[in-house]
Amino acid sequence: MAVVQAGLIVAGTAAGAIAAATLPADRRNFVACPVLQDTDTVPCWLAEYHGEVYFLGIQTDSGGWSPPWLGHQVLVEGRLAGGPRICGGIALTSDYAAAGPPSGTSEGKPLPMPPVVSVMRELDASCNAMLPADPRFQIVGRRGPGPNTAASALRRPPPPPAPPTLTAPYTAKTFTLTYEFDSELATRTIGEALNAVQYAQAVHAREITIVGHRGSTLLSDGSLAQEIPMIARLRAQELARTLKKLDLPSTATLTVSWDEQLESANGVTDPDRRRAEIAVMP
Amino acid sequence: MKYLYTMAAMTLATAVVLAVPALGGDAPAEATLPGYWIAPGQGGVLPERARYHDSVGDVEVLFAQGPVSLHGNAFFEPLGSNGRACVTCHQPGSGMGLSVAAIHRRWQETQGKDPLFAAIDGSNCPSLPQDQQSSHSLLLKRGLFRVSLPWPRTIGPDGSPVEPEFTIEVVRDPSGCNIDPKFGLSSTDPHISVFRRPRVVANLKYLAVDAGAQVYGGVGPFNAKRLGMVMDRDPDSGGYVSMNIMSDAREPTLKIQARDASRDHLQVSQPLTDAQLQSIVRFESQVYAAQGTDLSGDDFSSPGAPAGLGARNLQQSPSGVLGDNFGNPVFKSFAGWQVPGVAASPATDFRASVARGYNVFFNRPFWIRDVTHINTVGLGNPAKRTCVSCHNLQMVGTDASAGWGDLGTTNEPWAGEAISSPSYEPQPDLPLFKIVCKAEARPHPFLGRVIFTHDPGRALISGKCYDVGSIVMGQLRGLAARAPYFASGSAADLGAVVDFYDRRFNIGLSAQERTDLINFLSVL
Repeated sequence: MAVVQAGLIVAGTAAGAIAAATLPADRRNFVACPVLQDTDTVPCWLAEYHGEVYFLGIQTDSGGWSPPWLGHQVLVEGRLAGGPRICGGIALTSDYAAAGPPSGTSEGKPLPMPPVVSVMRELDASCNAMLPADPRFQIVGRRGPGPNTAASALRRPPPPPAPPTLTAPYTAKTFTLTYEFDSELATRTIGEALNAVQYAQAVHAREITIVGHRGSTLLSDGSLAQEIPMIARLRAQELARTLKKLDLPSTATLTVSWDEQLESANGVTDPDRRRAEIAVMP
Repeated sequence: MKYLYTMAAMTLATAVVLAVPALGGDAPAEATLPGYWIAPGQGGVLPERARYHDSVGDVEVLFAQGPVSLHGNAFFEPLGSNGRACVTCHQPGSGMGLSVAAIHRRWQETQGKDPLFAAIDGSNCPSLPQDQQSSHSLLLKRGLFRVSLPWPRTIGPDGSPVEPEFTIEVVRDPSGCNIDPKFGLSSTDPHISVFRRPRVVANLKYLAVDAGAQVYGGVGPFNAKRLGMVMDRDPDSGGYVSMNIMSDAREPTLKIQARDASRDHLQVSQPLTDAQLQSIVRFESQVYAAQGTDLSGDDFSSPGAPAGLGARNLQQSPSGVLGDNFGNPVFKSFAGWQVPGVAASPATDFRASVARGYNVFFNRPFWIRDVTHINTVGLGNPAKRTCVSCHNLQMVGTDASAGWGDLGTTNEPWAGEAISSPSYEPQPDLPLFKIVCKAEARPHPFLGRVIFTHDPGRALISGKCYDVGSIVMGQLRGLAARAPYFASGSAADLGAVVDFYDRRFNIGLSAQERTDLINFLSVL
């Protein structure tokens, strides 16, 4: 397998790449310190924006959405969920929530799918608010603060998936991984990397290209949150390391590149553009 | 079954050896009763099961394949130039680890001439005068061996390139080795010296074979906890490995660990043969160690004893079972010990305390905060959980995923340098490093871009800034036989372990809870 590091594709300017857009009235995109609101069961996560408190989600198991971290600001990308307040906050939701059932209930009603929450990269010591348990907030999580209530957790791996049965002529295929803001770690979409490698093996790919991208988010105050300039490169390089560890076919040439031009933002589908793409050419 | 006891006086850790002759074998007649120390090449036969006195009763070591002839067994033979064998640092009398009490006694008995104190890693630095006790102070005080690793690292365990994301500056080094012109970071062959406790060579079916990524079905080669990280592979089989063997996960398999340890610790002149490596791996894969009795006289092999205790239960239980749930609790059930007997006695009181301690371990929530690779992998920071959330692999209490995290045992501000015991004068004795993360690196999640550490841990292998101070969790079995604890040997006893967690996470344990937890840990 040969590796070509193509480097920067286009050096664009941020201003030139931004598409003007107006946020829908129900959108709430902002950067703020998270606030932990304890309950008698699992804690709620809140954030305050323009004098209003919003409910983001509850503590979950490893999986589903990733709750915020005290010590860091978060970027919240969501829309109003409707319904009553939860843990004192107006509930937000999004169309990017992790698959699976709701993480629990509030006052007996299912919790909404959470908004997109990205933990900011650098420390912010001012983000340190923990509110004591409030008996008014009746939260029941799929998992409480103690051990899991599942009867058994003996989990053996399932048999490996059968390799795709493909016949020539093979077609080029693109696999897309999306990321949290300012992150090069594909935590939720890493399975696409494995899908890409399996496809490459199945079609005896001769060429694989990785392109990293840099996104931005239109915030509710009209400003633009821009990912750090090097993030497109970091995503591409990290993904290349992952693919190589997953055994790319020896027939393939891997080309790694990145596009540091800031992607456009509309405040709605911005998480889609924080991405890296793997193109597999038979 | 007939039991045979012998007793030998010990200065710091008295040894009582209980030999349990193997049934139906042809070796029992020749089985010897080992003392607290097995010297390389001494020969003899170890019984299938033996017990050794420790601070709270007896630790039990079980060889699943029956009595072990030491002669010709590569684990017990001095294979290198310094006279050591694998057993030197993995003694049955210390539950297949090595207690600082045993180290002390060995120093006294040999005036420091035992191969255990070899200059290469049994002293603070090979360049120091080896006949002076002070040159071995980290081994004698904390049970720490020098681990010398190339820095800057350029290649990972799987052969992939590593580009370190941070620089290392030596703030101070009482050992002298990191500033030594021959062995230090500025030498012509730059290495960093960190000091770590030996890991336990027992119960490895839980750690080296069937844990890690294999536990979590459906995620293929990715570590379920650190989604996005591809596990290392066994170069022989191509399979993904657990990465739970070493404290920095640098050795993917027992075979590779044996190869590298023979080079680094035994100083072999020629690489071990495949037959020797296979012999070591075969031996290591059938050793089980756990506390066998407690001070109140309970024998954990007797009917009615909790099913999570004793070496035999470790041998017979399945591996790869997640235990952070009520269906398959991590150390099974102590229900039989929860209710005091008809007549209260010290024994029933102790059992009840152990059962309460397990309940604290399993059920008492507290705020787990600022732990890299725990709070950062989907739980949020802080997370309201219990001990078992992280110590979740049934029977051993490690993390079923590749279980490294920055608990704070090597990073400031939590680590501290003094051993947590009033018997030691607080004085710096570990190296202190200043880590500065490069601009484009993802910083340490809770310490930022400038970190002071005594041991960067996993980061010395991965090169990642966010891994600084992350250490692979150690198993919780046979604890009473191998103090001190944590990779840095900073907790002199189990009380110090509990106190560290209480301080680190502001748990607020009551005196009773503290005692119960200590008693619980002591019987594992």
